[in-house]
Amino acid sequence: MLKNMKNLMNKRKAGRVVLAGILSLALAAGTMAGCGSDTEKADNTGGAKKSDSEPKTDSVSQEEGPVEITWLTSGTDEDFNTPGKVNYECLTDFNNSQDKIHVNVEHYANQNDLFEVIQMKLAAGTAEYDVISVDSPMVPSYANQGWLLPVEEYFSEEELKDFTDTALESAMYDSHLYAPALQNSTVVLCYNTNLLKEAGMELRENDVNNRLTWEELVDYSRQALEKLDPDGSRGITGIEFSQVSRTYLMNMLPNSMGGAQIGEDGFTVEGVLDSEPWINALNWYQTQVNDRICSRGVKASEAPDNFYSDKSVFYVASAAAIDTISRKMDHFDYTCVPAFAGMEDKVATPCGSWNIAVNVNSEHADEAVEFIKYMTLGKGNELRYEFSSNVPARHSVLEELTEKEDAPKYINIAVYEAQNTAVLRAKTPGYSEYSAALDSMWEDIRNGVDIEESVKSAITAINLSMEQYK
Amino acid sequence: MKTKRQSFYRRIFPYLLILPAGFLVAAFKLFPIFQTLLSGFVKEGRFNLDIYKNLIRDPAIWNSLWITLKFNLITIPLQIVISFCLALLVNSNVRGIGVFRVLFFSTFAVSTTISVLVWEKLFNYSNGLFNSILSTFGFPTQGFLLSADQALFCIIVMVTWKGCGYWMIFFLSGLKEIDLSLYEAAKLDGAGPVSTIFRITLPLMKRVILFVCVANTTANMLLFAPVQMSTQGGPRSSTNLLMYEAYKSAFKYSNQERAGAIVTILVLIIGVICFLQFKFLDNSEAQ
Repeated sequence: MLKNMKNLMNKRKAGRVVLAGILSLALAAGTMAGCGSDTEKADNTGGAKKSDSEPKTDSVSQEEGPVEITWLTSGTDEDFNTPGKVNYECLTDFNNSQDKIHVNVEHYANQNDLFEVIQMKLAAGTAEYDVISVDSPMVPSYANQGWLLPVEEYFSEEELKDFTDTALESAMYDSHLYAPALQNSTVVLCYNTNLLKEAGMELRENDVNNRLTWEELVDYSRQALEKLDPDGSRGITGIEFSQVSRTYLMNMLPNSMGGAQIGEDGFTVEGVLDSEPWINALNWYQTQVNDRICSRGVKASEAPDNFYSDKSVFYVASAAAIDTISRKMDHFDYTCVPAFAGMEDKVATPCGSWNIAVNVNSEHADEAVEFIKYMTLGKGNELRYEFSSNVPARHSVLEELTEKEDAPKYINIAVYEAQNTAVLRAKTPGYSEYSAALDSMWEDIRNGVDIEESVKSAITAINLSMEQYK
Repeated sequence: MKTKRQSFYRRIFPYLLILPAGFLVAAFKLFPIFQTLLSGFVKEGRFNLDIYKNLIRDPAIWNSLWITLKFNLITIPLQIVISFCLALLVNSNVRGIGVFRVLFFSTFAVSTTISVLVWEKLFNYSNGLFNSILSTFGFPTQGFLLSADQALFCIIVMVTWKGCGYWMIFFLSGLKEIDLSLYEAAKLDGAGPVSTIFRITLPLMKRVILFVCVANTTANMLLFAPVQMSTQGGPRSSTNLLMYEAYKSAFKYSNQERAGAIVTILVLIIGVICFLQFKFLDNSEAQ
């Protein structure tokens, strides 16, 4: 009896062990299968939004339909899903106008997210994306790392000549064309007409040949603040920069005093950032912050809302923002950006915007090139100006737009600035490190840090990081 | 023969059972760790120490190291003391105590993004709540996140507010494990509340304290999200934690090797601190 019980127990024990073994294997297999299916199903967009039509597999697309290519870019859901929005119009027109290529899009509302995805995925050699939107100063960096396909053979000399000088330069690296410009940019000085009216003020007549000066602008601001917000309780700022503490916009101050962006070799900043124009410009800016003419503590992401909600009298912004501002408020106007008194011949305006390139690992390079040509030279490029206030990067479009009787004012400003005052951002493979150091420097100076110390620290950081590119 | 086979079976079979799990651990834990450690020593496909040499002469790294140590030297003890005190407070059986437990824990349930945004608004230089209160009472406006002297402390406040509720739960479970008769005996012997905490509660909580110390150290040494969202390492690099420096190298500058080397340094520091914590707090032998 006891023996039988023992046998039964042993059998049960063995059964349990076998069961445990089977369960363990099943668990492992399940996990592996789960991983497998996850990999297959993974969105891999890292929070990005994809367009409605998901890409089909290559075999299907080759046999049954158009070649599917993917465009990695910036933009919001609204930009890609709303009729009348430039990206929606371009994409819909391209996909509907022919049946050989279908473009899917993966877009990121936050540009920094896009930069991170580009850095991570292209560095890993992904073929997931065929077309990539590239912020123009990043072209040298991406090209230097071998992530972009040179595309000069696809563009005729005549087509290249149509790009403005700065637009073409921003697309080139090491004598190769990598990323033709989608559009250009320039900056304008916007002002809140209601606030000026409330303060009983009017700006003097001005234009590109007779600009306001920064000194005058400070005076206007001071007078306006004395009347509108003497104790600061309304939180009104005199002059707000739309991209405050960001290299793109802030460097226009030292540039407008004659300062360069970077040394000629594309690596050196000693003798540039600590030069007289830079130090003077940094001092000027810090003084305005300390005097409450310019803001402290407002982030670049908050600056536009401050202008829309009547918290800034003057607002230095990209011309591309005019379209958005017009939809948010009706009591504003704009003019060309000011000059520093006595340095009217040195006015410098930022330029460069988004360029578009082909991933070097794309399996559909020809189709990708066809799309970028459509976006930079074809109808897609025309739509960009029809549905937004972007500044064209091509002579022919600029001429066409200026000849129109109802051409918006910013186009004439943009044409003048592009031909006379536009300064490209620093052309260096280490632009990420350069701009990060300068962004910190501008923010530190805004927060009252000693200028010499800030400049020295930026120079040290840039020098160290540039070594890897030399 | 049968016994030999059985003994072999008994010895090998457990390993067979854990083999799938072992494989998964190796593939998804050990391999990435090894790869990260290795990345700091390999440049252009060859082994070299240039990355570490560059790190050593980079003042930004020394500054970040100092900031990281300062941040942790303040944050870890602060969080542990506050969470322990909270656990003591909610370890009573009065009616409605559950509400307080949930309330204290709820800060942990708030996403980091939301909590940082809220704290940013509170610390806002021009229209934040704290500066409004200060100016109401005639105090000067403070820079908070814009001040190189205050920004790190603001980050410490943010992470302490968010983290304490979480660590409190571990302490609370430790307190619940202590036999109530010990407290009754101590009371009969005339022990006061303070001596009860120091002579009974803390010695019996050593294992929980050790766990919280190790886990808290690891979490705070690797913390970077609040910095990335609110100060981006500034002002004047005063919040540039090592982990944020690694993040910038990896995601902003595509410099995986530098990021790998920084993370290796961080892992070593965490290892040393945890070793010391085990050495001084582990009482498993005594028990």
